[in-house]
Amino acid sequence: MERPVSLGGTDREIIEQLVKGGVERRKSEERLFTRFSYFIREGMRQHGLPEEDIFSAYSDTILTAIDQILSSNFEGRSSLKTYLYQIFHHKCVDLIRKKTSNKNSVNRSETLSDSLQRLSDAAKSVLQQLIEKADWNLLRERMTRLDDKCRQMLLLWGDNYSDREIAAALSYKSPDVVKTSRVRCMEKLRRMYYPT
Amino acid sequence: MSDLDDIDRYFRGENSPEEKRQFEDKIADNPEFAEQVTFYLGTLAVSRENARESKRERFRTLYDQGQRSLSPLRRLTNYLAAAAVVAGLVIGVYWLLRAPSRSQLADRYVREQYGRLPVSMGNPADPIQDGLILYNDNQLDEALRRFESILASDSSNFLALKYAGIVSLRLENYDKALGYFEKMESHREYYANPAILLQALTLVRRGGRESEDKAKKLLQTVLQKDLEGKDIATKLLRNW
Repeated sequence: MERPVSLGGTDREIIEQLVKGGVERRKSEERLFTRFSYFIREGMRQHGLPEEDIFSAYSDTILTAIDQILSSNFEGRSSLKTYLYQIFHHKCVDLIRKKTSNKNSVNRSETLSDSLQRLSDAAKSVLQQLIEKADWNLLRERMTRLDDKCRQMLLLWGDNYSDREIAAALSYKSPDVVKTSRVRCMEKLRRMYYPT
Repeated sequence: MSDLDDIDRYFRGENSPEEKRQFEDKIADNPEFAEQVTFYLGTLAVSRENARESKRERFRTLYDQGQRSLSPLRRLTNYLAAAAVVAGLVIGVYWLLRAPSRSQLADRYVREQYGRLPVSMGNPADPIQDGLILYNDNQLDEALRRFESILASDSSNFLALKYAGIVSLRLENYDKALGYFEKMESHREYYANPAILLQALTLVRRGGRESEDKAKKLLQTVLQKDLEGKDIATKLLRNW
């Protein structure tokens, strides 16, 4: 088995801040992005792709890495630089092969399939049929009509913030209030999505 | 408690195994409930998508700020790189176009004037002609041996001295060449005796302070006495 290498001080700091959550998490996300943003220039030079495409690949790399760190899938066997570069390289190659046709739909289907894994096969089968029929563009459009507070709430929820963290970020009295408010926001959205 | 609340509890992993089983059965049995679960999952997926998009925008702002703050440095780097290229070009052009050194002038003159030596087809048995053929065939060592063999029996042979000196000069054996040219100088009977010029050219090629001083004097003599090689003497003395 490969022996884990010890992470450098800055790597460890960034990971600890990310896992800590709240305001620190946001800071460490930005720190992570900035730290290796020179990959963008290198990627442009190496792959000959436009800056916008390489920027998108790099942003996706950081988002993927954040997800992996938060879900404890990053085990620290390599430095963050090596780990990120591997993801970045694959994303650039995907770009070149034009396999990433629609980033949004990829992200959404990943989230949905992750959620469905919890369910029994019978329940999963029913939901998969409904998911295929659903009008996600309409849902996305309806979500833009929600008030700021609800949109912010759902944004943080979508970013895997806990109710406690959302309470701190949006100045709610308690995590329970956040939960109740979030469900209310979703009901509001559902009425807009199913007007009849 | 609304259905959304129950659904939220399930996906947050807050249900007991029994509650989980009931929840999954309800999806299979109750289409309206299944629709609400689908809505919940869709909302989560779109929220996640929005969160990622929001982060991308934040990253874009950060990146643009970084680019702006770096741009003066990058501009300076570009200017320096351009200046280095221009300087390289200037130096390259200078080296290409700059006036040749005295040694280069002398070498060029020797190659132009004595690169090929005149061969007379009248007497093939003449050892001088034999040496010249070898010289023109670039067999310099062999040509020198021929001229030296003539000098071995006739040490004052003007042509043998001249050609032995020229071959030695081409072989960059400057001391030997000077010896032959000095002996050649004593032949006053020849109207066109380039011995002084050839000595000067050899000294220029040999280089060094002492050689150059001697060469300068010899070249001045060429001009003063109106000897053969005035043009090259004038060129060499022009920027001494």
